[in-house]
Amino acid sequence: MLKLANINYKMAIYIFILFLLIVPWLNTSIDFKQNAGIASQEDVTFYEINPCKVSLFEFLRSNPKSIYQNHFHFRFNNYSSISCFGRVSGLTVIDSDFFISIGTNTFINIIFQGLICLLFLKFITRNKLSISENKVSNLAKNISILLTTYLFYFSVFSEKRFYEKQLYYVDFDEAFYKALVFLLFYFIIYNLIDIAENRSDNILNFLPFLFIFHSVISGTNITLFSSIFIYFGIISIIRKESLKKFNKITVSLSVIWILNSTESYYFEPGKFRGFTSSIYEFNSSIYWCIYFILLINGIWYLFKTKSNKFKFDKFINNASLTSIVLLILGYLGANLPLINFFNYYYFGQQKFGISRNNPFEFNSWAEKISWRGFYTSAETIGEFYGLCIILILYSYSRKKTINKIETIGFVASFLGIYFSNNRTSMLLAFLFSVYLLIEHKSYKRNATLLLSFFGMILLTYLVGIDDLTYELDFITTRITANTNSYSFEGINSSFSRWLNTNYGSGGFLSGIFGFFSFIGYFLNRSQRWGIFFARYNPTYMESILGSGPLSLGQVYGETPIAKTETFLLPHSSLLSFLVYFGFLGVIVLFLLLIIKFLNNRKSITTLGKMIILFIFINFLKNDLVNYFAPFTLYLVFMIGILNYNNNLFFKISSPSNYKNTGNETKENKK
Amino acid sequence: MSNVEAICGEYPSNFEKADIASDPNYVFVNDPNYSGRQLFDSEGSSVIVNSFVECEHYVAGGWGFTPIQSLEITLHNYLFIFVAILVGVRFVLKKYKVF
Repeated sequence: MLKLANINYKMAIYIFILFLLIVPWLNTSIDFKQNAGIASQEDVTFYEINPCKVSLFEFLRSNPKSIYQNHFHFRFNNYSSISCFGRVSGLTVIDSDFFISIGTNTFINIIFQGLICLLFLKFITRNKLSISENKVSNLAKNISILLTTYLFYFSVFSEKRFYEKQLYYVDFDEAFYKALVFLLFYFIIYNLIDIAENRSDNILNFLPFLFIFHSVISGTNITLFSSIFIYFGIISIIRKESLKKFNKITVSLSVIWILNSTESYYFEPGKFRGFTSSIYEFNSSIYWCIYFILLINGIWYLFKTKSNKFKFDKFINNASLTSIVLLILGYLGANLPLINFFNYYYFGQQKFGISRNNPFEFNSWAEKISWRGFYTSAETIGEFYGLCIILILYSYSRKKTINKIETIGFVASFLGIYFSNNRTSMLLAFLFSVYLLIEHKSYKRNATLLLSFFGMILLTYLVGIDDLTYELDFITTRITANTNSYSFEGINSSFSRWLNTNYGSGGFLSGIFGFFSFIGYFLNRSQRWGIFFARYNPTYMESILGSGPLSLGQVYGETPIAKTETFLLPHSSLLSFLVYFGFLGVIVLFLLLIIKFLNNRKSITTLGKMIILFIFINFLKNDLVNYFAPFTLYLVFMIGILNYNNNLFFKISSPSNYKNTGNETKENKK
Repeated sequence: MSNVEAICGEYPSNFEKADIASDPNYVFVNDPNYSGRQLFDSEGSSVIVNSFVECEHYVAGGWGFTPIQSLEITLHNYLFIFVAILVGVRFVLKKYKVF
């Protein structure tokens, strides 16, 4: 066996990291002898007549203020030549803000960002067992890697309209480019899976880091880390350990969804990039159906086979670390434009971090302005911080001790949730944390009553006393009123027509929608949900079975609506699921969850119930299912809570005065 | 817009495609109203054309490349070779368990 014994492995890794961090931005035009021009509001002609001539490094040397002054904004330009990579491809001034366009060719992004993802993955602790003991044969592994690669390759050609604007001088019909795209993905995915497989025992413990390492390659609609779950999904099928019933149902439904997608509606993925279809049409539906089925199988399989390696205290530690890093990176990015750009590139963000540098800011009506920092969505990251607070205090209540990382993580989460201004998460985190702390105290009963009372007062304050004074009729008609006000030139979606005909008739469905409107009103969702229903235009079959997973193109492209202030997403995962799986799908999903809950109720602990409630409330009011990190994390929690013994799942090691929160411990079910 | 129109400009209203390939003695007539254009092939060779007919003929025959496009295609080729080598090296390293 050949061994490179003399190579200092760690040193080689560090040199490689340095190479990845620095080299791309040094790429300069050798035959261009001028120094980079100084950008000023009066004169940016240098960059107008010399695109792709100076490197980012040279630009920074001539314009050092751009590193820290907030009116500079570095932006990527994926549709640029390979030779322009890392160079200034343009500069423009809008009002007093400078927008510096940096060439970042999509093919090179796949390589660079892919290699960075490999490096991140390297930091996960290796399995103690060798691969052979994990029983994945080489043949199965190679087939799975090839199929995973093919799936990602297929996604490029199935979403041609999106990639036409991202891939510079590429002929999509030419065999050479097909081979190049396949080879690029194969190189990255092969290495990624090789590393992930050797660390599969610890992947679940490191899941919170998905909130930092988004791994969405710039210029693509692909979340690279999802390939790991896709791979395990294929392995589960090869090894006949997949979710057989789920697969039978979803494959049958997929046939209907795919055959139904005869039209073509484009959807600009925006901040959902990497986890949503950019176009609703035949090929794209094939890709997203397969992707979704394999993803669910992969997450399930990984949990099933590795749940015995899941260490809840390690998970909490990593969640704490994640919240600290998120806050630091968010703050740095908001204050330093260059860091903001690097955050986007190195961590594969879906959207640039916030550039507003004061997280304590209030508007002129003395309302807190939400500050999302590093993450794509303020609401989603607020939920994550809320969950961190609950978990850290849970850990403290069991161990009666708290380590340094948890302490700093708690402070970071506390600040983060305040900055994000996610008031629902604040309230839930507060109530749940206090309850967990007093759970075993003698005064628990009185304290719970006091807490409930205090919670109601807090809820009233958050909703706003004024909002409670309106008549029920007014509250329950806000969504329909908004739906009608956004109809465009008399064009109504099929659902808004149904509402106008049936709502208020006193029937069962009308009653359910009234209750939904009531909830929406207090969650401040009347307008957004109203806009959604103004767009929602399903056929009878689509209303029952949906349009297919992760596909919002149809709902956003089919029915024109009146102009909205900004591009507004539904702000409800329930509504997203309604589009994906229809009313039948949503009802079946909830029934399944209720059945699972009842079957496993004896082993579901207080924390388990709290997390279910936390996820459910946020599922109702946020788009969390459209982001890869929360989707994966919450799915793992739901699988764990509803299928396994929670005392084992939420076990905190080295406890003192530890008491079980649930009923009798049972054998782990699976 | 077709590649011809993008490079040569809009088709003239009275344009008739001449059968140039079957006439070895065909001579392109300069059009004084047409501003000459430099065309490139995939290898970077260039030619100057002085009429729409000539331009259309050359572009249709594969002279529709710009220097940037040619460079990009070359870089794509290099990238393909580079990644193919990386994949090959990775296989060898894996086979002999170097890492």
